[in-house]
Amino acid sequence: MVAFLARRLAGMAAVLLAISLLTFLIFQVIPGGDPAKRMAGRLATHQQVQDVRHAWGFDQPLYDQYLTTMGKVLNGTVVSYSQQINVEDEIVRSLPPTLSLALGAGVIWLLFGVIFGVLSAITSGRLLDRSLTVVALIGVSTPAFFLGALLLYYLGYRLKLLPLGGYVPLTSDPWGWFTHMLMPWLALSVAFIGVYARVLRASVLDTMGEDYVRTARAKGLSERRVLVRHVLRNSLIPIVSLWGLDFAAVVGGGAIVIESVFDLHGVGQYAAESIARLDVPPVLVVTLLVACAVVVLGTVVDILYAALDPRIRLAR
Amino acid sequence: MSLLDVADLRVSFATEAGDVRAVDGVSFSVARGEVVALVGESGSGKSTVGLTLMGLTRRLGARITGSAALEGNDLLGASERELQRLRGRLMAMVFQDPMSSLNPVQKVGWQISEQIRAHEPRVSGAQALERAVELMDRAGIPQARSRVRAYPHELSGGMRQRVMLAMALSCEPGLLIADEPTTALDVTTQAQILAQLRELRERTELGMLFITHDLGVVADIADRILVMRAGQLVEQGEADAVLRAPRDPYTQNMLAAYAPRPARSPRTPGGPLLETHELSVAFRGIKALDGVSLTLNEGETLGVVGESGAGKTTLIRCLIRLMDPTGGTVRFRGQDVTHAKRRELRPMRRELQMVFQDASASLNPRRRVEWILASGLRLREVPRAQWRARAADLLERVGLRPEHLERFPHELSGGERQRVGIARALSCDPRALVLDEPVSSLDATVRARVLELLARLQEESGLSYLLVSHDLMIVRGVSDRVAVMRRGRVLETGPTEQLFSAPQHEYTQALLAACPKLPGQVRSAV
Repeated sequence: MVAFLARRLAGMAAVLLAISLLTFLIFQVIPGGDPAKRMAGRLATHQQVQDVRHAWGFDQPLYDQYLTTMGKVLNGTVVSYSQQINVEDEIVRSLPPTLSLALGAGVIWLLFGVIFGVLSAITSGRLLDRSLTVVALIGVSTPAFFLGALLLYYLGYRLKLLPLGGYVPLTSDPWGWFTHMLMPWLALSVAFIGVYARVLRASVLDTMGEDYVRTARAKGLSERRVLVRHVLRNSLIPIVSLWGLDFAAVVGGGAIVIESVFDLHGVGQYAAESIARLDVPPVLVVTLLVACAVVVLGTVVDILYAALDPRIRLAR
Repeated sequence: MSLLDVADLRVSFATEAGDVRAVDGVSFSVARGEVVALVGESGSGKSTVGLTLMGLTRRLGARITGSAALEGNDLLGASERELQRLRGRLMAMVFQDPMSSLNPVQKVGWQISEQIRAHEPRVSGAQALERAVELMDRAGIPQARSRVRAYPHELSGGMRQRVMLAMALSCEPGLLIADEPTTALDVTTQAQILAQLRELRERTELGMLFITHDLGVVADIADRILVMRAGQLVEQGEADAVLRAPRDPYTQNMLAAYAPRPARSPRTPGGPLLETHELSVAFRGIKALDGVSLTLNEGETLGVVGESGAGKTTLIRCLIRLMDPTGGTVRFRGQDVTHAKRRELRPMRRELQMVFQDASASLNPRRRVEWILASGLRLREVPRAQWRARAADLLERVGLRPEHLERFPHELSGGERQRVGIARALSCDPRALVLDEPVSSLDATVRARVLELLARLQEESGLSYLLVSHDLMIVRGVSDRVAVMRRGRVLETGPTEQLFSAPQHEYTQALLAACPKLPGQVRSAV
C-alpha cells in the first residue's frame, strides 16, 4: 500500500510537470498572446510596452520565465496578468461553489444513474427499458447550456420557484445554498445520468449471464437477493472508476458551462474568463488543479477497486 | 417409489431460425439412493434437461411440456416462488466450472451459509457459518475452519468444486444434479471428486442425476445410464450392460474413444529438430520450469503430459519464444531460439507452427476462413493470385471442402474449426507443429477423427509433432515417445508403450491409476 501510494505520488509529479510545461508553451504560440502588449494597454507607446515587458520579466529566456512562474505557483505568490490579483486566493474563493456543485451533482447522477440502469436492465427489451433508453439518449444529447437556460427561464423567471443564479455559501444560509444549487445540480446531472444508466444496464446484463448468478438461483435465493447480493455487487464495480474520474473533472472546473450559466463564480468560470483574457497564470493553476484532482481520485478509485474485488491486488 | 419422475419432457427455444428442440420427449426416473448418468455429446440436450428440472431454463425463454415430479412436487407447473423453495432444499445442482460458478467477490463460507439461511430463516449467521465449516470439512476440504474465509480464486480447482458440493448438500437435498462436475478438473482431482460422490452414495439416500459427455467417468459410479442424442434418449439400461454391450451405434462410438488405440508401428526418427536444454523459468521465486531438457526428432511425435501447474504452457511459450526463459536454451534445427534476433526468429516461427486448444478463440472471428489461411501464404510470399486455390488445397488436406473458404469461424462446428486451425498452421509449410491440447475441447467422436487427421498428415509430409495435453489417453494414441511433467520438471521420458506398461515414477503410476476405466478394461498396468 505504501509502495503503491509512493509510486502514484511520483507519477503525479511527472504528470504535473508535463501538463504545466504544455500549458505554458501553448500560450507562447497563441496569436496575440503577448502579455506585455495586453497589459500596457491599447494606446501604449513602444517604450511603455518594453517597460512592462522588462518589469514582468517577459524579456527573459523561456525556461527562465517558466521556472520563475512555477516557483511563484508553488509558493502561492503568483498573480494574474490582467488584474494582478493573487491567483491562489481567487481559486480558494471559487472552490466552495465548485465543490458544492460537484458533490451534489455527483450524488444525484450516481443515485439516479444506478436506479434507471437497474430498472432498464431488469425490464430489458420491454416497454420501460425502451422508454428509459429514449429518455437517457435525450438526456445525453441535450447541451447543458440549453437545459440550464430552460430551467432558468421556467423555474426561475416564469414560475419564480428558484433563484436566478448566483452562489450563497452553505455556512451563511443552508436553505439559500440548497435553492441556489438545485438547478445547477439538475442541469449538470442529466447527461451523466443518461451515460451511467446505459453503462450500468450493460454491466448488469453482462453479470446476469454469469455462471455464479445461475448458481445463486439454483441455491433457491429470491430474485431480489440474487439481484442485490450477486448481480449488483459485481456490476457496480466499473461504475466506481467512471464516477471517480467524472467527479474529478467537475472539481477541477470541468463544468465551465454550468458554472457560467448559473453564475456560480466557481473554478470553471474563473478558468473560462482567464482563457478569454489569455491570462496564463490562472489557466496554469486551474489546469494543475484538474490534473491533481484526476490523479488523486484515480488513486482513490484504484484502492476502492481492490477493496470491492478481492481478485485485484494493487500493483507494487 | 421413485424420487424423480420425468415423463415426455420437451424443451424448445425460439430462435431467429425458428424453433430449436433441445429436448424431445425424454422420460426417466431416479430412485432414492440411485445414481443415474445422463450421457451425450455436446448439443445433445443433456444439460438442458438438468437446468429445466431446476427451473433455470424458464427465464431463457424455453417452452416446456411434459411432466416432472420430485417427491410429489410438480416441477414444471410450480410458480417461481414455489421453485425457490424447492431449489437448494429438495434439489441442488453442481456445475461444470467451479471457478465461474462461485461468486468471485464473496467468501466461500458466506456463499454456503447464504443458502442455509435462505431456506432456514431461524438459523443465525454464526450457526450457518458453523455448519458451512462442517460441510466443507465433510466434503474433504482440509483446514475448513480457516478456508471458509477464502475467496474462490484463493482455492485450487478441486477445492472449489468441493465447495460447490458442500453448498449443494448444505440443506440435505433429496436430488443432486451434477452437470459435468469433473470435466474442468485434472485427472487426479477428478478421481478424488468421484470418490467423494461414491462415498456420498454409500452413506446417504441421495438420488443423483450425473450429466456428462464422458462414459468412462460414470463407469464406477452410475447404477443406470441414459444415452442422449439430439434431444432424445437413444439407449438406457443398467450401467454395466450399457458399457459392456452397447446397442446403439452412437453409444458404441462414444465407447470406442476408450478402446486402447493400436500402438504405432515403430518408426525410425531422424535427427533432432527441436531441443531444449536445462530450460528454466522463474517468476518471483516460483519455478514454472525447472531444468527441462527434451528432444523432438524429425518425423516423430513427442507427447508431453502433465496436470495444471506442470509448466506445459510455459514450456510452449518458451519454445516459440513468446517468453524468454530465465535459464537454458531452446534450439530449432541447431539454431538458438532463445537468443535469436527478431529477424532471425521469423523463418524459425514459420517452420515451427502452433495449433491451439480453443480454435474458436484463436481464429479471428471477423475474418473468413480464406483470409485466415491466406495470412500464412503471404508470409511465404506466395503470389496473391494463387491464394484462393492454395487455401482450397489446404482445406482439402484437412478434410474440409472449398465452400468452407467463405465461412466465418462461428459458422463452423468445433471439429471443423480445429481442422481450420490445423490448416492455418500448415499454410506456413512448417517442419514441426506444437499442438497445445488440440482435441481437449472436442467430443469423443470428433476427437478421434481429428487425431486420425493429424496422423495422416504426419505420414504424408513427415511433420514432427510436439503434443501437449493433460489427457493420457490422447497422448498414448498418437505419440512415439512421452514425457511426463509435474511442477516444472520432467519426471520421466520414454517410448509410449514402455511408459504406459511399466511407468517408473510414482506420479506417472498415480496418473494412470486415476484415469477412468470401463468395466472389463485392465484397471492399470501396475
